[in-house]
Amino acid sequence: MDASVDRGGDRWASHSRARDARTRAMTLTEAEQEVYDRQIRVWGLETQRTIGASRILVSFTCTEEDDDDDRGEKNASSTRASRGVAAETAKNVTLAGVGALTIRNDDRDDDASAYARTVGRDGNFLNVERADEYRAMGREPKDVTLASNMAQTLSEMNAFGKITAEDGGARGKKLYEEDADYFSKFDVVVACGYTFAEAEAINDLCRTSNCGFFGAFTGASARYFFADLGDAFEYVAGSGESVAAGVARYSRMSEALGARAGANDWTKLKKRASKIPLALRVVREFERRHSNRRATANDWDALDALRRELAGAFGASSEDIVDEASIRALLRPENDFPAMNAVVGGILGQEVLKRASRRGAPSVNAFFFDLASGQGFVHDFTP
Amino acid sequence: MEIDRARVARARVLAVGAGGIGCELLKTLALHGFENITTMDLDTIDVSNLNRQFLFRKRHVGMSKAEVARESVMKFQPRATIDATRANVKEARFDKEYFKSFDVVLNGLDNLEARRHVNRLCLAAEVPLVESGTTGYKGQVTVHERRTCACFECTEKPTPKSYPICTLRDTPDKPIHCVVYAKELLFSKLFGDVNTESDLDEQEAIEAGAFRRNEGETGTDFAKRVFAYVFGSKIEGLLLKDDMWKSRAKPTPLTTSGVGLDGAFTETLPDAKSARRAHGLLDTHAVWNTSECAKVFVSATARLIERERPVTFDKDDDDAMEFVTAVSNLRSANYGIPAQSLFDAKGMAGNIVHAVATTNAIVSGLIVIEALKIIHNQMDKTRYTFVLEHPSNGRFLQPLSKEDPNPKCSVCSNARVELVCNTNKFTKGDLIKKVLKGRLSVHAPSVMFGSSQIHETGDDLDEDEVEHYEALDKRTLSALPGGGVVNGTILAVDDFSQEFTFELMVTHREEWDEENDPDGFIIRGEDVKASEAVAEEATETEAAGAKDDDEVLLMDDEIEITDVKRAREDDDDAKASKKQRA
Ligand SMILES: [Zn+2]
Repeated sequence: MDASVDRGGDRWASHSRARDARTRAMTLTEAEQEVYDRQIRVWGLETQRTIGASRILVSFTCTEEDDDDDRGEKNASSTRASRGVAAETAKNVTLAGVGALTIRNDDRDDDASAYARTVGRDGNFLNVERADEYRAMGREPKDVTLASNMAQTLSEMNAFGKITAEDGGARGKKLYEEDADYFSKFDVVVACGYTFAEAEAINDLCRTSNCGFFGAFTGASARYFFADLGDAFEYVAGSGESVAAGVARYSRMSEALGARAGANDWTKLKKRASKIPLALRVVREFERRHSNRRATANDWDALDALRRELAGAFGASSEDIVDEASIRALLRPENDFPAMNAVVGGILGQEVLKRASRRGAPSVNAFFFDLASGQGFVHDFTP
Repeated sequence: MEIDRARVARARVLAVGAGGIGCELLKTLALHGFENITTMDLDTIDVSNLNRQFLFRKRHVGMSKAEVARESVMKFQPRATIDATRANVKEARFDKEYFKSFDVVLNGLDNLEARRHVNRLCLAAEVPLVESGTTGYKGQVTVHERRTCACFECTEKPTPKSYPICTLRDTPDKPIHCVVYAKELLFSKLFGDVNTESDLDEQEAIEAGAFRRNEGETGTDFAKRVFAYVFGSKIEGLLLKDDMWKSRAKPTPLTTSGVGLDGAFTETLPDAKSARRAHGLLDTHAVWNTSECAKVFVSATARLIERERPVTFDKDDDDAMEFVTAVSNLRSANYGIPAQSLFDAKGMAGNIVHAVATTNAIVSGLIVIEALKIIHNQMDKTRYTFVLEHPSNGRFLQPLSKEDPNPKCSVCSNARVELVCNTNKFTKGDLIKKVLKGRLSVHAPSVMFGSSQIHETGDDLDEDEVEHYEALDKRTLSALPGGGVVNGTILAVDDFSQEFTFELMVTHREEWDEENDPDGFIIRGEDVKASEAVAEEATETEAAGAKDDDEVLLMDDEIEITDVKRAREDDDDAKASKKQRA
């Protein structure tokens, strides 16, 4: 949002102008041009080519409590909302024609029934029933993991890229426990459903390995994500003659949402602006003080005290205390809400593609969508 | 938002269209626990759908969108019951009673006519409608219900642009003029129905037999002769008309020798599957030079002329599209207009809508949110949402409160529509085809003039009735029986299939300027007047400082996505989100 745009002659624009259209087109096959025709008309051939060379990781996890839900019928679609967000995002970037996509399930997946256990029971529409297909291939359906079943669906959506499944369980570690080498295999990492502390650790690893980071979160009646594309993310925006280069500055999530960050947000907040970003600071602070435990509706008393405390600490007037509804919107969901996943997965998909192609002004550095206001807006948390 | 799962499972939902928005919508509905979903789509799956219509695979190309979508959704949501039909929503069986059997109707359609048709039936059946549209990164979702808020047609939608025939034929100055000439005029003249009148049938063309293939003439010889006339002697003839070039740059004629067409014509790969490929032109994004265009023109013409007439233009017919690109570029060379690649010419000739998966996904989520409110009896909480390409005040998704019904809307408020035309030249056929069907999207019009019926549509008409109405089609309005339709006449128009009735007032105007009004008529729809009135009112009240700044603007130049957007400038918001960094 805040990226400074340098108009006029710049290396990105001249770089793309200098290329001959003829040689560029030849790098996409006729089959690819047929499939991608409608979107090449949106973002151009060069962008399509860059997207085709990008390597994306979409990783997801549910909370420990969610995992227990898997065993019972109760709350069938319950709190596995992060799977829906991951599915939406993975679908969107796969359809766009990414070169390589890895879908990673970071939850325990050692149960023999694997993927079939949740077909039709959460917002994960990539998890389709294909027992007959697997048997025909000589594979036992019960040996198929959730991630590999999702990868199968994704590979059917994109005949040109390489789709891979990965299981945190099988690797014996969570995404935030991987090393920098692991991250250097990707241009962009999308982490869905992790705690703030875990997401911040993933963010730091992405920084070390120079890959773009997106962390997506689900609340009771809101969805949101953070982006960190580094200190100076260079991109090209505009089209035709009005192409211009820009540089966007991001910060790590841990800095943007740090305990001392955001003093300005409290006092400069205007009457009609959404209080959701401030509510997020309250919820983040809660988790910091409660050993990174996710806040739920049962924690309201503590959250209530905290919203007053923070407003006071940052010198905000009593009118600026974050309203209850904004905080509750961000708490751990009791039920999934697939329509919100579709909305946030769409915007997140677009932002991932902007990072992958360096085309289009990227959003700095968070996006929120909440049911109550119906707004989908970008908020800049960089200190 | 509290969700009553039983209510969601029970709700009867009609999702019209199983394409770009439709695929996403069916998925999101099914995931939300909707169990009674009906969908219909007439289309079959095309390769170019696969980048976004994610329920379809390569192996499904050519199959029914609705049916494949149903099958794919059931695989991840076995509980959903989806009734899927390959059908056109405008079929008579989908009447008011049919629409009444749903709790809410959700539109994911790609054409204005069908969207209007569904709007009219929803009004008649008193079923709430959630409307949507997307183009590229932009999209919108609106909610409509009889009496409580505006209908889809309360705001005017832009009509497709038409171009004056003399601009197309003699004085083009934009690439689109050349593309339209190639597709609408020259293609139809050479390969279309022989009996159709053409604007290219000028005296000297007929005398010279310029467009007629001679006995025993080879396809390439015929093509070269057409080339010499269309891009050469025809242009030379125009150059003699001094008046035409007083304020315009003169065109330059092309010659067969100048573009290398003299001598024997050869193709490097005669067996290739289309004209350009026969000349080794494989890159659809490259702009062909003039001699390449000439070669493609000759090869494409030679191929097309061997087909059985009439050939109708189809952007996905390679020879046809390559012919149009070559002709368009050769005319561009005549007139000093920039040439286009095959890819760009195809976009123009085929009116191709730009589309990405993400916007459709976002819009599907927004549609379902509004549908959930409607089935939970929260119509008062429904709203419009605009999806923006570039955030405004930081917002990608901009909610707006619904519009009130427009009292001047001919569809939901029985307002009169005004037709301005020359009643001594405008025929009843023009009235039916161009005005009622073409402009007002009336599907099956009946027209009463006083107490006599001057037009009816339907399968149950007698043969002599059909003959009678056809005979009347050729008459000018003023020559219609019963004293003639003249200035001030009011006609009663009725469409049984849409449950749509309105009065059409005719205003006579003698003089028409072809440049400004190439159609030869104007619809001064009451809704146009209404928006003028609103604009005036707004200016007045604004001066008094009493009202929000309600601005009427169109979302996009595509007809697929148009609506009123009220830009509410809010100083506070603007300042809060435009945090400037040094
Ligand atoms: Zn209306």
